[in-house]
Amino acid sequence: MSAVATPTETALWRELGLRALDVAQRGGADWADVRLGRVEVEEIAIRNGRVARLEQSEQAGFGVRVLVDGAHGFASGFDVTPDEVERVANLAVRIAKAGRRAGPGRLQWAGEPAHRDVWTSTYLVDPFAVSLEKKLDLLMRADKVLRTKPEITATSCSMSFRRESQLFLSSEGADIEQRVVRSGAGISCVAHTDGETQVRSYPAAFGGNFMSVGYELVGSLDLVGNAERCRDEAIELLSADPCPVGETDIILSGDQLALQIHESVGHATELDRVQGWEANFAGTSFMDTGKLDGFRYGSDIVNLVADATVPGGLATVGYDDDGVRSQRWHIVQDGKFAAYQTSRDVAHFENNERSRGCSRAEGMWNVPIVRISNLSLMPGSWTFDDLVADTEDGIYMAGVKCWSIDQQRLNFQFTCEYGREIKNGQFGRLLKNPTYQGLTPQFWSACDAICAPEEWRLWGVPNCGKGQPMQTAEMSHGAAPTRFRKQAVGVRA
Amino acid sequence: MLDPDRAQRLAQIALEESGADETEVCVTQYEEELNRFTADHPVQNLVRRMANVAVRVRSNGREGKASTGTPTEAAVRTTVRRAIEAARHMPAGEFVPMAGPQEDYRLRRPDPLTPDPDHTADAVARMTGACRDAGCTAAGIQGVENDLRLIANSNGLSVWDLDTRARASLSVFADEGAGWADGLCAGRDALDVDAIARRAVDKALASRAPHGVDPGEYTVVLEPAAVASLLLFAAYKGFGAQQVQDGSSFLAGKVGERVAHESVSIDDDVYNPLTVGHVFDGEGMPRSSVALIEHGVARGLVHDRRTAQKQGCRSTGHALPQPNVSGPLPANIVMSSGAGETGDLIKDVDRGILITEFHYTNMVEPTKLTLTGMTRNGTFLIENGVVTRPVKNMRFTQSLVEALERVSGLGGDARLASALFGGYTVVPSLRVDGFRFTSRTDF
Repeated sequence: MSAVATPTETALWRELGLRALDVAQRGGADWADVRLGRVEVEEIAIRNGRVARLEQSEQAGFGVRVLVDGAHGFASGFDVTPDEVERVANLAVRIAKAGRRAGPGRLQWAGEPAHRDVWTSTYLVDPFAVSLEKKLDLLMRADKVLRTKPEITATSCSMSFRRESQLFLSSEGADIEQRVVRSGAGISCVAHTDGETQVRSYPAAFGGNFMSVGYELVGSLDLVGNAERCRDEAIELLSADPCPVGETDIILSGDQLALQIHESVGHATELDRVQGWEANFAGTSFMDTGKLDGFRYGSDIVNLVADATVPGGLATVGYDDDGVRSQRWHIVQDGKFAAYQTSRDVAHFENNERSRGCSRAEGMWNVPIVRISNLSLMPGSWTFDDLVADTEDGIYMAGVKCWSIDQQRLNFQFTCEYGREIKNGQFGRLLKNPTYQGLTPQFWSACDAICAPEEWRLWGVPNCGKGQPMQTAEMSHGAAPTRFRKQAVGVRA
Repeated sequence: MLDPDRAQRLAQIALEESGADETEVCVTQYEEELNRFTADHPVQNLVRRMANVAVRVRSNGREGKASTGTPTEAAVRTTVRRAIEAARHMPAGEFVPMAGPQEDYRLRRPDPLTPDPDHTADAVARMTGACRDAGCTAAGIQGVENDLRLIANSNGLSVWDLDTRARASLSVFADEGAGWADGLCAGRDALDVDAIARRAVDKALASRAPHGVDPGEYTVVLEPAAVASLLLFAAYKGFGAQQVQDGSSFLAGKVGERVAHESVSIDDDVYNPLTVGHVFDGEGMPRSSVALIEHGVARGLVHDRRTAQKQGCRSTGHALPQPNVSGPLPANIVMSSGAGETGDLIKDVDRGILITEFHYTNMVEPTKLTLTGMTRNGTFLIENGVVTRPVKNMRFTQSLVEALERVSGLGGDARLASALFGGYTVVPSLRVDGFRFTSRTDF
């Protein structure tokens, strides 16, 4: 792979970026910013002992955003040359002016100091410096363990690495260089017998776990050492009983709870969704601004904190793509709704003079939109063993398998990979396709026990889709095993 | 920007630079214009451009791949060297040879849809104006896309194509009611934004003040968008040869058997006049029309060169870019139509539900294609053959395999439909008996 942006390249970006700002302002822009950068990706996947995916890509480009009388214009390009930068800046202004034919520009821009800074994420081992042989050897060894029993019909072992370099310049004088490295890895296998298919993954489904760290993440996961358990659990699930239909207590594993946080709190509290900006695609939110007055989101022990500064978080950056410095704040405090996730153009809907710094774009070629920050359920004090022992009648559910939630983020239904019945404080029979269904505020209000910091960890979501055109973003959710009382489980299908 | 000559020059440079046993180059150029609006004013107006040059090489039985988003001669030469270096580190494997020259392309190559922000904004104004006049609020998009793709390889294969799409999608809100309509076609002129606005407004006004009904089994009349979001799972999880070969498809061991009601026929057909898409696949092979289900009987599967070799047949031209985990997939599902309008499907329903669209559909279980999702943007109760009132949204959890067996009517209103998170199908309205709703929501 090519090296991260060099000083020479960054100097070229700065020269061209300043030219873009000048062109935009001379064209009539009240505000202009430009992001120039490079994204490098390496993805490797082994399927059934064969290299089924190898991506080594690099993408450079730039995007210019302007406001003209409150109307928005954005244009992007991939030829990083003076002529192209000038053409794209002019196009962004033209688009903004044309947009006013469809209605008045109403965007308001929250204030922020014009930061001038260099920020880099931290890592121990540069994943792009680790040889392909070493990565393939580890994946092949894990895959071999998964395939040692005939019930396993498909395997997937993968690693993914991403390095982003970006320069942000604004017409207010901001000048922010950022470099972020993200890593991910995981294994998964499918067991199949007549009429039954089950899947099990480690450390999490859909590619494993992802963090803003280096190759040290891969070493910490011990993929080979966990392959045998992953394989055997998939096979055991083939003959497991189905999840019973009824009402019972559930204990969710951290990885499953991470997705629950993402879907039923993260998206519900994006203020652009609340304002209807996403209404034609992913939907709106039940969390209208009338609920800023202490709406009861969950039980008293529910504290959900957004934190774009937490070490290792996929959404951890120095500054967002509006040039706003990263922050930490409560979304839900002691069970009550406290604040939204915002960008500079929606902060005023929260009566806030400053954005929370949640504006991010997928690469330079997309327009920044409000994205979920690292959003975590703060840990409690239970040990996992004590939590199970304290549960008279319940189901432990782990591993994301299927998720669905309505367009206002109220009615959800999740199915997990792995379920284990709990009777009188003891684990009982294995359950396949464990499913629970609920309504968001009622669900979080039923939270009565959260495990301690020792059980708490960050789980990465590397593929959150939102926006038109759809963009993918990354974020993390910290979670520990947590109990929810009297939930609807199973489904008569 | 959409420059096939530049794409061909870059491909030639890559082929010349590579000394590998086999080399494949895929050049893409993509341009999109979009106006995104809400509450009657634009919030995001954009034109974005992207390019990619992907190089796949094989040397000494090893395969490597690299790509760049910088379509310059220097970047392409560097990318070739990176691909060769990657191959050097890869394990040896057995590969199906890259394809040679192909004769039977049915290339379309329409004129590109040049971004026109004034025209787009005017179209948005017509849609939002219609909504305002009806006392409704609107959110949606209007835009165009151009997608140029070229594939060439060292065995003499070389082909390029341009896929164009014009699209409008409109969500309309009135009191507690919601409606939605969209249009998608290859050319800007065929996009009737006024008709889209009328459909969405009518739906929103009709769905005001919805009441809840109890979950349970109902006969449902699914409009094309709802049908599309279900069938896409059959496309992703069932009709590809790799999934049948590894046993994970609901069609595994059932090809030649009855798998759906006899009225159901499903093809993959990029040449259907209503659909969009490239006419060659990720290996450069021309796409064939494939009968997947014929009068309820599972017939064919889609193949890439690897699954075709394994099965002893010819690739149908449904490869994704190589290498990949998923195997071949359908790209242009087309479901056979019946006759008449949606109303003709409704008139025989004693008590049922009319559904405009599903939201966030996902797969619970693969062997029966058990899916779950929510209704959205216009859900109505049918009583004694007529639509009587709007109802609040409900969650379904339903096996698609069983639903296809219980199809009791097809409309004559086939149209190109898309679904949340992508994919294209040409499908009619569908009536399905015994469709299971398992919970409901508050709106």
